[in-house]
Amino acid sequence: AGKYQGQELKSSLGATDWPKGYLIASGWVFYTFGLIFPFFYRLLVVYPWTQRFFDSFGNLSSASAILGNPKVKAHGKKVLTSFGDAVKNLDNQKGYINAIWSKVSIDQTGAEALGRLLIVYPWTSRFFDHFGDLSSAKSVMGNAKVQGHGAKVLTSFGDAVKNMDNLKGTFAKLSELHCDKLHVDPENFKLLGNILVICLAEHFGKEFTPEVQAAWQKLVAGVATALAHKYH
Amino acid sequence: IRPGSDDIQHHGQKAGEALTRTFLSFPTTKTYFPHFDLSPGSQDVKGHGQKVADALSQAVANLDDLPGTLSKLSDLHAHKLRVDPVNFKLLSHCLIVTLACHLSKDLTPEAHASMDKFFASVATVLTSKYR
Repeated sequence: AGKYQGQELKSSLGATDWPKGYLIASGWVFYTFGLIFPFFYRLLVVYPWTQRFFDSFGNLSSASAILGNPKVKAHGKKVLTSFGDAVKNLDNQKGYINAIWSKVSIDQTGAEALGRLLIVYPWTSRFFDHFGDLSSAKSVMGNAKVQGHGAKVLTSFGDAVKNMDNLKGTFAKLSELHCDKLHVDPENFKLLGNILVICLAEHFGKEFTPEVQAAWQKLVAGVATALAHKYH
Repeated sequence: IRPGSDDIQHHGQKAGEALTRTFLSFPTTKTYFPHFDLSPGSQDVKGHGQKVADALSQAVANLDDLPGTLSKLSDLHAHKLRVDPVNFKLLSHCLIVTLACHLSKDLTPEAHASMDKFFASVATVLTSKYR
C-alpha cells in the first residue's frame, strides 16, 4: 500500500513543478509507511538528546530497544501522517494561488496595489520623488508612472507564482538591487504584500475565502523574505 | 469611516469572519485562545466577533475621544490579556481584507487609508497602558 501511495503522490505533485529531492524523499517516506519508521527511530538513535521529549516512552536505552519500542512506532506513524497532511496542504496552497492568479489583470491590479500603498502608507512615496504629483489619492491613482511601475512590480510577482518552491533563488538578483541600488527597507515588502492581498480580496470577494487568503499570506510573506534575503 | 461603517450590515458577523481569517493566516494568534473552539462557525468565534464589533462601533461613534471610550479595554489588554502588540496589526489587516471582500470597489483607496489609520489608532490606545 505504501509503495502505491508513493506513486500517486509523485504524479499528483506533477514532476515538472517539484525538485526531484522532494519527490524522492516523499515517495520513500510513504513507501515505508506500513513497515518501520526509519526516520523517527533514527532520530532518537542518531541524536539521543531528542529523547528528552519522550520520557514516557519507556525503554530507549539502545538502538534495538528503540527500534522495538511500540510507542516509538506509534508516534512515528502519527508524525508521518501529519507530514502527509502538510504535503497535501501544499498542493491545495498551489491550487488556491493559481486559481486566483490566472484571473488577475496584472496591469490593473499592479497599478491598484502600488497606488494604494502610496495612499495608505504615504511615507512609501520616499522612493518615488521622481514620479511627479502624488499629493492626493486621485493624483496617485491617475499617475501614469505609478501605473507603469505597479504593472512592472506585479509582473515580477508572477515569477513568484511560477517558482513557489524557490523564491530565494528567483528573487536573488532583485534582492541585491533593492539593497544596493534602491536602498528599500524590507519592511516595505511586507506592506506591499498585504496591500496586494487586500486588492485581491476586493476583486474576488466571496471567492477570496479565509483559506485562499491564508495561501496568499504565505506567498507574500515568502516573497518579502526572499527579497530581503540578500541584504547586507 | 462613518459612512463606511453605516454600510456594513451585521458588524458582528464581519468581525467573526475577520477573526477566522486571522487564525487561519496567522496561526500564532491562536495561542491567545486555547479556551476557544476555533472550528469554522464556532459559537466562541461568533460571540467574540460580536464583542470586537461592538467595541469598534463604540470607537467609531467617539473618534474624538478614543482613550476615554476605550479606557476599560485598555486596562483589560494591559493587565489581564497582555496580547503582544504585533497581533493588533494582524487582526486589523484581516478586518480590512474582510471589508474588501464585502465592499469591493466601495472600499476606495481613501476609505482603505482611513480604516487602516483608525484600526492603528485603536491598537495604540489598547496598548497604551502596557508599560
